Amino acid sequence: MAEQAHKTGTSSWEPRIVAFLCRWCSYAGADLAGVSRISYPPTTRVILVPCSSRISPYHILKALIEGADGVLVSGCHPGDCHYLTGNLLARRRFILLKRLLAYLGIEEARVKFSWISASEGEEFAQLIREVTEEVRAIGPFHGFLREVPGEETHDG
Amino acid sequence: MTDKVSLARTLQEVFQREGLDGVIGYAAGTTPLRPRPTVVTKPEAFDSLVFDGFCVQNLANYLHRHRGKRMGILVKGCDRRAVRVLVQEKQIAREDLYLIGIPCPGMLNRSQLLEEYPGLQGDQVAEEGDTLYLELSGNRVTLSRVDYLLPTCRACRHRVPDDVDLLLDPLPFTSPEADGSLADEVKSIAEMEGEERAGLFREELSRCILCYACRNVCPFCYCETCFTDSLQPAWMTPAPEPDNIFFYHVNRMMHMAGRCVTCGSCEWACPEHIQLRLLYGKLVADVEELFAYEPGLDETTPQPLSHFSEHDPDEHIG
Repeated sequence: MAEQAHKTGTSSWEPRIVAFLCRWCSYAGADLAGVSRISYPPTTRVILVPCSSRISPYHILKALIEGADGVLVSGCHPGDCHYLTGNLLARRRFILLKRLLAYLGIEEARVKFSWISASEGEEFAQLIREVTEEVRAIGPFHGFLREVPGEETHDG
Repeated sequence: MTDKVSLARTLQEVFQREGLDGVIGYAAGTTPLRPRPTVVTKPEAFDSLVFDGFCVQNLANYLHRHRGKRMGILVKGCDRRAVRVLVQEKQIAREDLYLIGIPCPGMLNRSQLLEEYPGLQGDQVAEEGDTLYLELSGNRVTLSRVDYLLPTCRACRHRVPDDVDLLLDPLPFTSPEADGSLADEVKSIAEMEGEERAGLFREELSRCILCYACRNVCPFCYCETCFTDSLQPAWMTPAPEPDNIFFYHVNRMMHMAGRCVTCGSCEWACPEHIQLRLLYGKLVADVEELFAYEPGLDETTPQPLSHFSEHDPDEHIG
């Protein structure tokens, strides 16, 4: 239904974004945004993870397959990892994944990585605003290896 | 290509002298132009071994099931690199192995030959140096070997296996220089418009039937339970639907990062002729560009995804 609304331009469609947040930095950053009463779009479904390196491509692709329009993975800034090196290992995986997905024709905005610390409540809110806008711009996710509905459906 | 008799004799001699438990090589297959891997464990069975331009399949895949035994194995350049990756991952011990290296002339494209000469049988093909002879019902066709190389072999930079226990004599061919054809293919795809590229891979990957031949033929897919078969969590189902297919290929690619030696076995094994080299060629190029790492050349350097540098690229983090 929501997809149809997007297609017909009535735009009641709101992106659904799954956010994997590391418990030491980004989750605390989201918490700070909340207690500071900073408003940001209610598009994210937050999943608490121990570390950004806990996230493998399985989780990211599975989230998209199960209905997310976008995925955000956020962890501590390099050097600040609670486990010292987790985010640095994750960084290597993520750049490869990001390049492969782009190569296979997946819009770059579908999957986003970022570093947010526990003190960056405003930065977190800003990040969610950006991610929401970027995903809104590319529209709903229709599944992998599927033809994107043609332009003509926009007129109808 | 290699004289069958002298190959058998050499390997048999090595088998007995080194007291090996077996030798992994190729025997004639039941499908034309498709020799099959075999393990010879008896001195009298060495006559069955062959080596020709169709021995594509990576033999390192057969080492896992002979773990702990002292095995001889015939290695081309890519098999050698795969063995090294397995040693690096502590799947096998180098001292258990006796490596018999063959300087590889590059393997031939069976599909291309069968497409141009339908019904071609193994005994109609003869290789002599750089020339390929086809005996077609009375008329003899002469082809240039280099025109029929597999795309992965055309681009191979490591044809001669290094650090082997025995290096067989160079074969009478002119080893063609590695060309950038695979890199060029990948590059031209990367330069396509997003939707055109998506269309290309949609077409290629939609043919996938999730038979897992590419996984089964790969020396690095040795997990006891593959993510494809895991039920808890059930990441995917075996139904060949687009989401499952995409999930499978992207995750398998990620597992191959820093390990894939571009032997071309997966593409060779694919019953749907999916051009998997276009996926793995990209992966290998990215790993090389980002982490200056080429798999299977050095046991002591850790694989790129098992360590990190503070100065790693950060441009993808928004």
